[in-house]
Amino acid sequence: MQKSAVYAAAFRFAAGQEDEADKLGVLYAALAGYDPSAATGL
Amino acid sequence: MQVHPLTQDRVASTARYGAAAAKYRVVGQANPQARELLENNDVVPKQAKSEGFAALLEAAANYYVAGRPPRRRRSDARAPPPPPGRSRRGPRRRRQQEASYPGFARPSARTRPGDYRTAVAGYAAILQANPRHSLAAYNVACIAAVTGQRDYAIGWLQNAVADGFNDADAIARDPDFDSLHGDQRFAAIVAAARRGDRPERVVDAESILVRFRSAVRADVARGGAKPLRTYLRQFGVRFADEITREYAAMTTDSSGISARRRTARRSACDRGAACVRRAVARTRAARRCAHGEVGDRARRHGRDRARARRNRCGATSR
Repeated sequence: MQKSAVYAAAFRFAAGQEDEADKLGVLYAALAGYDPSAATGL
Repeated sequence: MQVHPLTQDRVASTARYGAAAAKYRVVGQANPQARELLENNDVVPKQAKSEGFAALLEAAANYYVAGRPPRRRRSDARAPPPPPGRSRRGPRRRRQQEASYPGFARPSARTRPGDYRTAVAGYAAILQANPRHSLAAYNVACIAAVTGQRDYAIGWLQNAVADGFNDADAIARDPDFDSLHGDQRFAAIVAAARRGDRPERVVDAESILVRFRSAVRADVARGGAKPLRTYLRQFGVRFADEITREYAAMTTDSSGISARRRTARRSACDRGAACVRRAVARTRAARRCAHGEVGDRARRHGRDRARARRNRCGATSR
C-alpha cells in the first residue's frame, strides 16, 4: 500500500498528459484504418 | 447517473481530435504512410510529444549521455585574465596540454619545484616508453645542467637535438643552460639545431652497458645483485632489452642458480636454510603460475595461493 502511494505520487499523470494520450490514441486508430470518431462512444 | 466533469471534457476533446485524425484514415487498411504521419501530423504537434514521463526519461538519458556539466574549480576562478595578446596560462591550459600530449606535463605536474629526483624518474619512464622523445631528453638535459652535471647535460641536449628538438632559440635562451654558455660543445649543439642538423648521439648503448656492468659487479661483490628493476630504473632508459639480457647472464651461474638464491645461501642469518627453502618454494610457485618470475611477484603468488587455500576458493592466479 505504501509502495503504491509512492508510485502514485511519482508517476501521477497531469491533465495534459491524458490529453496527449487521447490524441495519440485516436491518431493510431485512424492510421490503423479504424474510425477515430468512434472513440467517443466507448 | 452523474458524469464526471473530466470525462465530459474528454469526450469533447476526443471528438475534436477524432475529427482532426479522420483525414489520415484509409478505410479497410492501415495507412501506407503511417510511419511518416506519426512523425508529422496535425493531431499531435511535435513539441507535445516529449511531455510527461517520456520527456522525463529523455531528459535523464540526455543528462546521462552528456554527463555532468564540468564544475568550475576554485583555481580557475582565481586565475587572472590573460594579458592582451597572450594566451591563458593556468591549470586549464595545463590540463589541455596533458590531455593533448600525454607524458609532456606528467613529471612537472607531479613534481614540486626543485624535486629533480622525481622529475628525472618521470622523464625516465617517458623515455623508456618512447626512447626518441626529444622533449623528455631536453628536460633531462635541463635538470642535469641545473644540478651541475655539465657533461651529462651536454650529452642529453645533443640527444634531444638528434631526436628532432631543433628550436635553437629556445635552447639558447633557456636559463637552465646558463651554466653551459661558455662551453664550445653547447655552442656547437645550438648551431647544429639552427641549421637543422641531426648530430650523433652521445649517450650510446655501449657506454651505458659498461656502467651497468660495473655497477652489477660492484653490487655482487658487496653481497648480491639488486633486482633487475633497480638497474632498469637506473640505466634502462633506452636500452632495457640489452640490460635485461646482460642481467640474466651476469646473475645466473653455470648451475642455473640465480643471484638471489646464492645470496640467500650466503646469508648469515640463523634460518639460512629456511630462507633458501622459501626462495625455492617461491620460485616453484611462480613457475606453476606460468609467469616464471621470482622475487616480489613470486612472493605475491605464494601469498595469494596461501590465501586462496585458506578461503578454499581454489583461485591461484594473481
